[in-house]
Amino acid sequence: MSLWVDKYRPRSLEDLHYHPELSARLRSLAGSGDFPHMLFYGPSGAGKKTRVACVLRELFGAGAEKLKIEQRVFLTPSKRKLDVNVVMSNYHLELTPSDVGTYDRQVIQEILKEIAQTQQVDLNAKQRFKVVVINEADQLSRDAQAALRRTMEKYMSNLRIILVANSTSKLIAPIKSRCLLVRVAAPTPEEMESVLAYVAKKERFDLPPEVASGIVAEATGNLRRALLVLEALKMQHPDLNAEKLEIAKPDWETYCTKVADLIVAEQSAQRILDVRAKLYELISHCIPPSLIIKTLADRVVEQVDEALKADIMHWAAFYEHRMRQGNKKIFHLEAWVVKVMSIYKHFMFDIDLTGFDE
Amino acid sequence: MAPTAGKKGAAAPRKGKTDKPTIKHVQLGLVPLNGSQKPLRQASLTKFSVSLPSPSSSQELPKKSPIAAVKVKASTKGKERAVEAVEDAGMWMDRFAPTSLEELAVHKRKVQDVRHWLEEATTGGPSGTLKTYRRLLALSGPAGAGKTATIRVLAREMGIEIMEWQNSQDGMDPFGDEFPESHSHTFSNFLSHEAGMEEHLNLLPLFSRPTTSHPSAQRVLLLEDLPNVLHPGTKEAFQKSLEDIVNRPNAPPVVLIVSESGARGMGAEGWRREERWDMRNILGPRLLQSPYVTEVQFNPVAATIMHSALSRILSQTHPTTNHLRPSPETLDMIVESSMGDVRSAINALQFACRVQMAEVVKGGGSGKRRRGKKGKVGEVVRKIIEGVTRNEQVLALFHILGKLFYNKRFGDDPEENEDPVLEASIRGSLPLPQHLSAFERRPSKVDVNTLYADSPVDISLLSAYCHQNYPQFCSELEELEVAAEWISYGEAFSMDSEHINMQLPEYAFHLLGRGLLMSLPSPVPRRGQKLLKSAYWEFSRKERDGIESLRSWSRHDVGAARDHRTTEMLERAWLMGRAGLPQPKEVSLLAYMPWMPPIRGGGYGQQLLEEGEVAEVEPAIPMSQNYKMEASDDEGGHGTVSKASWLEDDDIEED
Repeated sequence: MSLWVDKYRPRSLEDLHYHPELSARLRSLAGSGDFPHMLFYGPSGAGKKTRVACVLRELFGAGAEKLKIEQRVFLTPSKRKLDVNVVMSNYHLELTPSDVGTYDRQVIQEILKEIAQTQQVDLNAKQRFKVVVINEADQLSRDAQAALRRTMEKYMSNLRIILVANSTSKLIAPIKSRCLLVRVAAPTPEEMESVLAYVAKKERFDLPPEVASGIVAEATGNLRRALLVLEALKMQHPDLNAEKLEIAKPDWETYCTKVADLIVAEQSAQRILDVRAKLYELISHCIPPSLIIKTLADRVVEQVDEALKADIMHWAAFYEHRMRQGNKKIFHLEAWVVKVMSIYKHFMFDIDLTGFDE
Repeated sequence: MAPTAGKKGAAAPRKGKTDKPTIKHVQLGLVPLNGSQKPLRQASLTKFSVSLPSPSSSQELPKKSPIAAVKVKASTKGKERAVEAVEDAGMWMDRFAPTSLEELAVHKRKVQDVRHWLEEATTGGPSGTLKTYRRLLALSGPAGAGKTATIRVLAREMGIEIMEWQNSQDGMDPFGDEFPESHSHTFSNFLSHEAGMEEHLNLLPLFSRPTTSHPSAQRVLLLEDLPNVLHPGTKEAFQKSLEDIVNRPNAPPVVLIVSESGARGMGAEGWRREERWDMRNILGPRLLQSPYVTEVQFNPVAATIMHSALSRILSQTHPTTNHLRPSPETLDMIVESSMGDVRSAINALQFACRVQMAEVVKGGGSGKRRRGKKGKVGEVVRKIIEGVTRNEQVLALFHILGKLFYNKRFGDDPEENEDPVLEASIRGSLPLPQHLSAFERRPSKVDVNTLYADSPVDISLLSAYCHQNYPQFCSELEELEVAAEWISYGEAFSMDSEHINMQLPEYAFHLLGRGLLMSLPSPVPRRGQKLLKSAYWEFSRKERDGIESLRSWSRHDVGAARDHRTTEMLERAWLMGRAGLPQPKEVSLLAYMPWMPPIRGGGYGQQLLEEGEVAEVEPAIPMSQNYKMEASDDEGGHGTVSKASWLEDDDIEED
């Protein structure tokens, strides 16, 4: 039994539920025989990878869907072995560079070279080239990006690269200029609701519109999340009774919300320690610190006065930047927490004073 | 042993000058008494070879008879006084190695764990079926926790024969003539030879019959002196050999001993995972998760246990309380400074006796004068012992943290007589202008420059401790804010990986130190603050383990592999957990985060102890199921006997 997210993932360009113009353009690109390097970008859960998979199917036929996971071993210059997970079919190969950390340049170069130097094995293949999909391309180091730029030109004859990224801001200009940029925008609420309705119909249950709109509002444009939540809800309350439904959230989001409430409720040295314990707990559950700070900031901002919102966001951005520079994320998370406490307390204190004056 | 002894000699130069014969004896003592002495771990091995120790020598413990040693000495150095000869016959840790369970300075529960395993491995336990699953016992723990001693004593008591692998460089290799081969080959040959002996060579016909009553029929392979597993090729071959032997039901069970190092402090973040010398790395994930492998972790020896062990030795060397016997204070100091390392403690003890004796000899017979000097003797011993044992770091860390957190400034205490000249020299000549008056402080008594120069503490370690402890020393939120900001700034600053700059740690130290001094209140209120151990490594280890399990999940599950972002994988895991779909347990635990309101007055992390202090409570607040389990496990290890906890994460160097 697979999850609905996997089960109802559109397999071909025709099946895609939204962005019909984009699908049409992709289809004509795949059919033209002159397929460029591509860069898909857009928010998470918008359907970038789904579209990439559809394009691959359009290019190579159903064979591109037969996926297997391979573990490749690479040798770094210092003769250290690196294990990299590679998802691949006969026609393409997917990599996630963040798996390899600092050695992404070597791994990318090795793989691209290897793919580029071997001809298409399948004589019946529709295309002469192979495709390498690089996920999270915005996580590539500068080094790797620079290396990629040269490779993209050199092996153009039998290799195409599809980059998938959340934003183009971290990619260097030469790469962007060598790719066809495809923006996959987040679906609108109506589009998401229609997808939810489609899944509900396939699963043969009634999805009350209020529930659908509730889920969509929580998912903020992340269709993947919306589908996960729908499935979780359905599992909890098979009848989907709208009156007592509480839109399910992953545990850590609820956890973050509670931590934010702790910050707003009290500002003291003891509270800092309490919050620290919670932050440690979140980090040890592999929740990325940048996501923690963002979720916390969102929640805190919801609860404070208008005058403070900009400030709190500013410091969240500031300390997130610190986290990227530093190594011990907890220091910077905590510095932000203390900052927010201080701002908030000062603000409340000032209000009290003016109250006395009047 | 040789380097340790060398260090000791350097630490006490006066000894060499005053007491020549003693030095000679030390050297004499260095000669290994018999084959059971631990060989040096070689960093780079040019040649592996196998020396199969004859059963008797491997099993036999160093003889606990000073008389024998004296006899030897008497024949060679007849002129020496007999008393001294007794003192000098060999390293004490060999002479007084434990021979029975009572003498073993290890927590009873750990001994029980190992004993049960050995029983089950040899006889199959009560049901007789467990034998299949007791194939490899992995003993891990810090150096000097008594891992090897436990195995040896138990094996001796239970009549199990130990076959041991030793790396060696000389030509004692029995296979060497026939098969010129590589190191790892030799090693796997050793294993398969040991394992397959009964199948192929049929040397020990009794060996494969578990029902036999013959005591020597039970055999265990002991691997302590490992091949260089930091080399990827060797490591692979090593793990392969182990897997082979583990999967062969008729082979004798294997006991693997690893003194873990590098898992602390900077080790954890500075080294890549595959370079660390720990059980996880040495055995590899496949073996660790295999049902045939049992791991027992040893904790540092608790203070009370160590104390009785040292007393036992003293009662043998100095049966009567005379001037030669180290004072109880000296003993306490040794116990405290050894940080749970029995080996180091015994070394220090032997050394202490020697120094005191030297002192006596120098004092020249007059009893009165010697008595008068007693206080000074203690001082000398203290200094030397600090040089010998490993506690320098803890003290230094404690010292620096104290200096920083108490933020002493001139004028803190009006009663105190302070040097006005010094104060004036530190105070700037000009007062700060009006708009900077917020930064006005009384001149500080802390010299950050000297502090840095004297500090053997790594900046990463120090900043973690500062971070752990700063909230309790501040009283206002503003102070906390500034302190947190400085800690954050210093950390981000010191980690600029783009430009590796040797100056950076120093700058970071100044940022951290001066920033803290600036932000802390003056004077710092004394509320009986307790310095806590930083929880940072504990949690970052968990994070790494979590990421590891996510990655291994993605290796087997196409859906998870395509998610590739940790949050997406966690969302998937969360949903699958709700749906009750099968998924790895570690992964579902990651996605499961029930909320618990914070517990008032609770802290976490262990208390950092200064010598002589004992933590009153074991501060273990259950923050998650995982954490709770670990905390209670810790408690069982050494908490029941003594609440004292050693600072394990602090020293950077270990052999």
